[in-house]
Amino acid sequence: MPPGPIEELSLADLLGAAVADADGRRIGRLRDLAVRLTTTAWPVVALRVGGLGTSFDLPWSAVMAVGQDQVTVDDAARGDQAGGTWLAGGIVDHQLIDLDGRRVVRVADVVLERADDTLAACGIEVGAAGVLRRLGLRAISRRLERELLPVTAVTVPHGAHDPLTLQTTRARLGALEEHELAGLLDGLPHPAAGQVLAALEPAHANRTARHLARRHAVRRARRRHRRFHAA
Amino acid sequence: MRRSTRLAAFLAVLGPGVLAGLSDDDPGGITTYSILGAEHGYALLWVLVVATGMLILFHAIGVRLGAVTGQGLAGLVRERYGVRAAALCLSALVLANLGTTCAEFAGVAAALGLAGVPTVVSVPLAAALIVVLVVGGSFHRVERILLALSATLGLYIAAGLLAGPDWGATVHGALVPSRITTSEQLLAVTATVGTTIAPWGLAFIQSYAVDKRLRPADLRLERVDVVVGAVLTGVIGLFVVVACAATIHAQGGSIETAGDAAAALEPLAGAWSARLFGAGLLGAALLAAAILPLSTAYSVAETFGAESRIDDRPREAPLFYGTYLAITVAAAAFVLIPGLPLVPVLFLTQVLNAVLLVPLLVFALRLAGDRELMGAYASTRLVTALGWLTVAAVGACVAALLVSFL
Repeated sequence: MPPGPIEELSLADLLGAAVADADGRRIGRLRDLAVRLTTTAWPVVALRVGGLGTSFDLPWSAVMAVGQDQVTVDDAARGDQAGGTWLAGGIVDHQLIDLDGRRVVRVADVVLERADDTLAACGIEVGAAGVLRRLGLRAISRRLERELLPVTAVTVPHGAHDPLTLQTTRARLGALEEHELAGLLDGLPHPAAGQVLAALEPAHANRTARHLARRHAVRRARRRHRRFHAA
Repeated sequence: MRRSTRLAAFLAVLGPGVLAGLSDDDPGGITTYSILGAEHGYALLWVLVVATGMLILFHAIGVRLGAVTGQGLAGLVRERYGVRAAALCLSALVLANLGTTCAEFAGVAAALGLAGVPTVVSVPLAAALIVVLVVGGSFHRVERILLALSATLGLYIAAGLLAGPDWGATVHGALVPSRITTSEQLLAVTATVGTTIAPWGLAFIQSYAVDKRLRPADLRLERVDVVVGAVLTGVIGLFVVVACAATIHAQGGSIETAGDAAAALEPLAGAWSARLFGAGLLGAALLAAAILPLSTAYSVAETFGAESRIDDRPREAPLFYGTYLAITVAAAAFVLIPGLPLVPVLFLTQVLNAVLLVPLLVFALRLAGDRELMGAYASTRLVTALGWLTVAAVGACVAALLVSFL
């Protein structure tokens, strides 16, 4: 791919772009991008191309040029496995736990940075603006504040079917006292709380889980006490 | 486990099923059931029985989805099928819910109108009370007050008994299906299905189960909550039908609203029957007027990725509370428009509910049967088969209705 200036792209805008081979013949549309998760930006390692009833993956090394409306690839590399985490299938529209704000939000879009021959995910967009833009309501979307998070603040669970993403690093989670973390987790949906615990050091996770169990037991007992005496 | 402990454990999870079920007996529902009885007598009671069975099936699915995934229906649809599918789901919900919320405030106006309170007083007052309750209250307080309000629906049972129904005809009508031969009967059947298995109810029960922090371990007792709520809904609906069948239909009369039904009952079944009917209508209207905007707020917040809870403060959940306020105010304002024909709003929104129900049932069924999502809690083959049968039946009603209009 020819070198060029650093450019910011949106995954939502890229998806659906036509994919053509070196001869300019259209072979499908861009359906997804796979990234390698690192502690800095997430480099794109593969792309998924889909057509009528077909779908195949290509390693990023097969990409010859990336434009807003078209991606040109070396079709001969079809079938080579590159691994990685799929953005559209595994990150976008999935829940993200905002531990700083103690809220559960959803990934609306991924911000990509193109520099020379690399493309990397550098940011996660949450909030309504991204959703409205994806629905084609750009005029309304532009009036809203864009909420962006750096990918360096995000940890993705390793399990293939684990949908939740933590908005903090293990180091930050580990720095919280167990009772503080239990209070935080108590306000989250229970699958989300399980994902947070799984990201901790085992001893820290066990102590936190015991605090959490105690909070749940107290709450259940209070409910039963209220209902029992009311009855 | 001792009986007292089991009871306490059940009372701890009680809420989603009872509230979602009993809210179905809202003014739109009461109007639909009243018309069902007034115009068709006991003949179509079997439709209510079948619809109640469908309600149990889908409310159980909804509460299972919420307890296992920790996500509401709109949020799950977005995660599994994308933002466009979620937008379709949300559009259907908002459209149906706005119409139905108008019907709730129309019911408040009708009920208090029987006591001589003008609409310009009753509707704004009810709207203000509801907003203060939900915006200012904690989850537990809101739940307790809503459950207490739902108890007023028992007044319909008393009203039905006072009307002196033909119990033989009631049992026959409930158990023996009759042929649907006219477009009026088809409209009544579709409206009954739409009001009983309301789209907002599907979304509400799942979101509420998440807000109540139910877990998979709670599902065994929660199923009891769902069955109790749905059966109570059906029983109350049945008594509304028989009250009108025994009096208005028997005299060859007709009605257009639930308020008409309450007024018409007086000369036929006594003043107490009419008063109880009116009081029940007020309780039903207030309960549903509180829950409908809540269901909409949950769905909007989930779709835009800002999942929220009743315990959140307004500044922590502006989209959630902003939606709640907007729906409440818009619906109340709509009902205050002078000369507005409320009959179409009350009855036809239930038909609209049935039309918009089909895509939502499909989403719920597919999600509940997804083993990757639900694991060991995925729907069994029997539940899936019954679910698709329900979808087919609702779809057939809607299709037949559309054809009959052509």
